[in-house]
This record gives sequence, structure tokens and C-alpha cells, in this order.
Amino acid sequence: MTVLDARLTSVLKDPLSAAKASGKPIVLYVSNDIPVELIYACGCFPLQLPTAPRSDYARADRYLEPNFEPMVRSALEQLLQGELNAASMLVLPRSNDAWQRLYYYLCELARSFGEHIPEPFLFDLQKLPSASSAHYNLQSTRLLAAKLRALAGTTLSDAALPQAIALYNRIRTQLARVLQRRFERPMRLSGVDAMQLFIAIQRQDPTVTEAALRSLGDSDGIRGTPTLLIGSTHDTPHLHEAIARAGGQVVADFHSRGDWSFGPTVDEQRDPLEALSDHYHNHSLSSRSHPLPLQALLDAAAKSGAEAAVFFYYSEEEALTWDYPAQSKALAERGIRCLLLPRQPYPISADVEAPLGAFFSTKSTP
Amino acid sequence: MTEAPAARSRKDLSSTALAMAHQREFAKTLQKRVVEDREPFAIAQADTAHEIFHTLDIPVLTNQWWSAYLSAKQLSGHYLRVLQDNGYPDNSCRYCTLGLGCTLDADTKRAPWGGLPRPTVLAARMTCDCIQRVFTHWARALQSHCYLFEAPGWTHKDPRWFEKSRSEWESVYEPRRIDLHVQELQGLITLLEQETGRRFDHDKLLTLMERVNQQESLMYEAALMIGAARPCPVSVVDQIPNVMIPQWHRGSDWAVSHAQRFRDEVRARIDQGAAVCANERIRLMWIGAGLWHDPGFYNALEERHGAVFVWSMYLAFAGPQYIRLGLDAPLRALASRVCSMNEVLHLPPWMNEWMVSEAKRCGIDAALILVPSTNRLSISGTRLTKLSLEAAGIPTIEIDADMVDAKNFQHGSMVDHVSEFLRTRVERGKP
Repeated sequence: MTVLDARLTSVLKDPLSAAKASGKPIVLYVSNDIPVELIYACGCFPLQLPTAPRSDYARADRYLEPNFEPMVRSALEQLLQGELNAASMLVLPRSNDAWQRLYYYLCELARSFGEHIPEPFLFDLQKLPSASSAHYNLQSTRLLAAKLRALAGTTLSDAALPQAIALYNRIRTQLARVLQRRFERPMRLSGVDAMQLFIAIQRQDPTVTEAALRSLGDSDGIRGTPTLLIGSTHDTPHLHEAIARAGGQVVADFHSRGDWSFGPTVDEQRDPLEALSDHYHNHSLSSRSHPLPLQALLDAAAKSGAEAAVFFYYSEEEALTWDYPAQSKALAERGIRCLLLPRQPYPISADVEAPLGAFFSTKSTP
Repeated sequence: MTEAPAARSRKDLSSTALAMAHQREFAKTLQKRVVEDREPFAIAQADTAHEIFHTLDIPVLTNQWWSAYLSAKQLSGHYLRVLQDNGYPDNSCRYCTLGLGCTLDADTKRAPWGGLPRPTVLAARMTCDCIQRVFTHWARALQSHCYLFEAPGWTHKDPRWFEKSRSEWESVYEPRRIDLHVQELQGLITLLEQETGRRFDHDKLLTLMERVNQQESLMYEAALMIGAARPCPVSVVDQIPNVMIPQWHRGSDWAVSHAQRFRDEVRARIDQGAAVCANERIRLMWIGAGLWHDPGFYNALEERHGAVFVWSMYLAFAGPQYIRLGLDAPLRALASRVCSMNEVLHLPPWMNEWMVSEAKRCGIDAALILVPSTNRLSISGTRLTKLSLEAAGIPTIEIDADMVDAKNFQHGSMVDHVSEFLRTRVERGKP
């Protein structure tokens, strides 16, 4: 039984329902490194691409080579099938290689191959911690603002962006408060519910999300080995369910649609565009984050009281797998047992049950 | 893993032998400067601004060249296993990781040159999400600096970029992208000056850029001549070493003079009516990196089908991506040269529009596209390019192979596979 109420479960069932009901231009976005505050402030409805495993990718496979991440393939199939035509625009991140390549593909599919899709826009965010990258990112943030204003046919008032930043900061605070229930023993929020929460709040109007988070109910007596989930991005709670069945319980999602969905609060004292640019430059987790945010992982491990870690990678994962040796070593040094699940299919296969079962049935060595 | 023996290719040009001899000599010189004399040197990705190092007289070891070198020594399988033994992924890009494997192996007896000593810097452009990791780990293992360049998006998408890039590079490649890369290059210069005690001479860079223009213009002239000539006077087997070996030394006296020698030999062969294949019937285009572990593949279809590989990116690339006219700001011109190398070769609309244009220019009958399934960076754009070529009337086949890893590649069956494609898709439509 989920603790999410109808305001949140409705968008799990029908991802576009709240967006369509808003009457605003719908702006799809891919990941946690797109400034949703800006989309909202410009009078648009920010809706995270509702990717999900499908049975057929025939149209996407015509254009996309085999080693793109599965969510990219899912998104392309959705777009080509016209399932997202209610949206006016799709914002893709430069901060992930596969998604930025999809941007160029989509532009070309519209230009030369007669495909009708929401207008693609690349949010050109750089991730090196340098002044030149920061300057470039501020320009990119301004370009996105101009594009959104043109789309919505509005001007961005002096108050709109600070208000949007404040609203999303309240969501960040509320979300952090709710997610802490996973750190209690016994836990008061399951890993499955947390993942569903991550998904739902990216599809609902932020004012509704804030209210729903404030009144979110409790679960009782959630048990299982507290587990960190690390690696590839998840767009369903299927793996969380499998981990729970095996005797674990996800207490922290260290992937880009997990605990880092929003990151820390945005500085409300600075110029709002500069504050947003800085926030997404330095505080959003992406496959291009550099240097490797190892300390953030260790902080998550300590805060959540994790006793185990599951590293899960799709077959197409090229980058994050390079982080595994350092991450697993650092966690093992802190007494956290690690399970590596490489080359996994999308959606997850039943074959994952056996290694999970074996892993969680083994007691840790003292 | 056993590695298939490489098939030898047939080289027709005297320039080729000279280029390869120069490279062998260069390798020895580089080894002496780097290993014996312990001079400062750099390990750099191919798509970085080697001109910065050349201006400072710092030898550059190009990562992809080193990978091909290790592969040619039949060491790729071993070094990939070393990477896996260190916990790194087994689906990693061979083209960029073999050098790291060699360093981590720390076996001076096995490694060519006894392994690489500590370089002054390792430099890479973040064209994919893995390379920053590979170079960070490698720099740590070698106890050196890792200098990374951003690879920003490119939203000014001019499909006819190749017609304008030589003279209108400022607008084609976007001023703000060039600004960013110039700042990064200045940072690299500062690091190198601090590490070596040398001073960067901007006048020397200007001279170098002028000489690179001279070299690439000669190469481009050769490319145009080869595309227009019937029969094909020089196949990709001879084109690639003649353009790429000077490319590693671009702007040097030898590179410029070799470009002239190559251009002259191409012209002479055309004047003499020389042909790669006496019975040329099919003109082929090779799209992607070279098949370094089986160069003989490029000659294998000549006898059976009269099929000649007329085009590869290496020679054709010299004109649009290297020539930079208007050198008032040499560092900006240099930044524009290197800030989009991967994009134009692997992303639409640049890749497919250029390939179609080049196929038409060279009278191509069919195209082969390398699709290395372990490498998203190299496989990108291939399907859209195939569709674009097919729409332009050019039958196109995908070649599922890796550039440097011979695993899963069988020379004979691949030749048969392509032969069947030529028989059914190309010869059938020929008079």
C-alpha cells in the first residue's frame, strides 16, 4: 500500500494528466540538470519525460544505434509515436552524452525525415568546475530563459523567478524531510514509495506537489537491509521492489532521478539567473559531473545508515561503470557490502532476483 | 582471447613508404626524447589542439595513435584484461583505453618503450562521458596533470558547414563556443609554461597556423583530384598514412613538404592514367575510423568486384576542418579547428550532409559504415547517415567491427559479407 495520495498517484497512472489540465504550454525536460524553476516562472508546465520500458522500439530503432541508454530509446519511441505531442518543447541536457546526441537526432528528424515532434532545445550546461564554464553556463541559462519567454509569449517579471525558486526550495525542503523517514529504524518510507515520489513530483504542478508532500502519510514497520542504490538512472521502482523482495530496502537512490533529483536549495539571495546557473553547474548530478562526487556518495551512505550497496548498470552504460572501483572500495572500507549488477537489461529481468537473493541472505562478516 | 592475424595491405605510392619511414623514425625519436632524455611531453586525444604543444616544442603522444600502436603489437587483448582486472568495465572504448591498460599493467618488459614515463600533462576534450574518467585515472597512475576541455553543445547547425568552415569559421562554430575554448587553451598554456619554464610564443603559433593551412590546402587539393579522377589513382590504403602521419606533425617542415610530395605524386599518377585497380567498376566510400587491425580488407574486393576504396574521412577532412583562413586571432582560429571535430564526423546534420556531398563529389557507388558497437561516440550518426546516403541513391552497408580490437572480426567472412552486398545491391544496378 503506497503512502502517496491521489494527487501523486494520478500522474503515475497518467503522466500527462496534470500538465494537460494546467492549460499551460507543456515543456518536457529530461533530467535533474534542467532548471525547472525557470520553466515554471515563464508560465510553462515542467514535465519530466515520462520514459518507461516498452515492448516495441521499431520506430526508434530505425534511427538510433544500439548502444544508447534505454531511456533515450524509450523517449525517442514515445516522441515518434506522437505520445508527447501535447508538449510544445523538449529541453535536453548537454550534461549527458546520450541525451545530447538525441537532441541532434531530433533536430535532424524534424528537418530531413518529416517527423513531427515537440521542438527540441539543448540546455548547454558544462560541468567542469572552472570560471570559463560558469560564465558559459550563465549564457546558456539566459538563452533558455529567452526561449521559454518566447514560447509562453510572456515577459519574465521581476518577481516570477524568485517566487519559482522559493517554491522549488520549499519542495526540496519538504522532500528532504519526507525522505529522512527512510533513515529511521524501522523505516517509515519504503524505497518503492520514495522512487514513486521522485517520479510523481516531476509530473505534478509544483504547488500541488508542495501540498502533497506536506500531508504525505506514514508507513509503518518497513524492514530490510538498508541499501544504497547506485549507478544507472531508474524510471520505475521495479528494482526497488526486487531488492525489497530479496530482503533489502533502498534507503538512498544515488542516481540522477533519485535523491539528487533537486539537489540542495538554490541561493535566494543572489541574482536569480546566476543562482540557478550556479546551482545546476555545481549541484546537479550527471554522468559528466567532475570530479567524481565520491564524498556525496559517502555522505549519503552515512546519513542513510546503509549497510549494503547495489551497483546497477544497464548494458549500454559507458561512463558510470568507470566509477565503480573507487566507489565500491570506499564503501567497503566503511563496512558496506557491495553487489555489482553489470550489463542489465531494461526493464529489469527476473534474472536479477537470484543474485539479489544470494546477496541479501548472506550475513555481513564482522 | 586470441587475436586474428592482420592482413597486409598493398601500398602503391612511394610517398606512403616515405611517410611510414618517417613515422617509424619519429617513433624512435619520440621514444628517445620521452623515455631516454625525459623531456617534457604530453599525452593528448586526437581532437585536441596539438598546435599548442608544437608551439612549445613539447612532443605529443596521441592517445589513439598509441592505441593503434599497442594494437599493432597484438597487445590489445592483454591490456583490456588488465583494465577488467582493475575493476573497469569490459565494454569500454578500446580506442581510448588501451594506453591506460598499458600503464596499469606496469610490465616494462611487455610494454613498448618499456611503458610511458610521467608526461607533463594528459589532455582530453570531453566528447563523451567516459574520457574524463579514463584520463583522470591515467593521470593519477602516471602522477601527472589531467587537463580537460569542455565539449559544449553546438546549436548553430549549418548542414552545409563544409562549404563555409574555412573562411566563415567564426560564425559556423559559434563565437561563444570559440570564446570558451580559447579560455581553456589559455589555461593549458599557463600550465605548460609553469611546468616547463618555457614561454609560449604567439608569433610562432601564427607561423605554425599558416604552415598548417599550407599543408592542409595541399592535402585538400589532392582530395579534390582523387575524387575527380577516373579511374581512382590512390586508394584509402595510401591516402590514410599520407594524410594522417603529417597530421600528427602538422605545420612542421617535414609535414608541409610531404603534403607537397603526396599532392605531386597524386597528380603524376592521374597524368599517367595510373589506377588502383585496372578493372575499376565500383567506387567505395569508407565511413569511420580505419580498420587498423586488418588493413588488407581495403584491397580485398578489388579482384573480385573491381571495387576500390576511393574515399575515407581522413583526407577529405583536411580541407573543411583544418584550413582556417583569416588568422588575425590565431588562438581563436585554432579553437574553431578543434571545438567540433567529433560533431562533424559523428552527428547530424553535419555528418550525413557532408557524407552525401562527398559521395556525390567522388562518384561513389556504395558506402561502408563502421559501426563499432562498443563505442557510442564512434557509432553515433551512422543510421541517419546511412538513411541519407540511401535516399541519395548510394547503397550503404554497416560493418560491425572495432577499430583496434580484432576480437569478433573474421577477415574472410567480412569480405564475403561485403561481397554479397556489392553483388546484390550495386552490381545488379550496373550496366
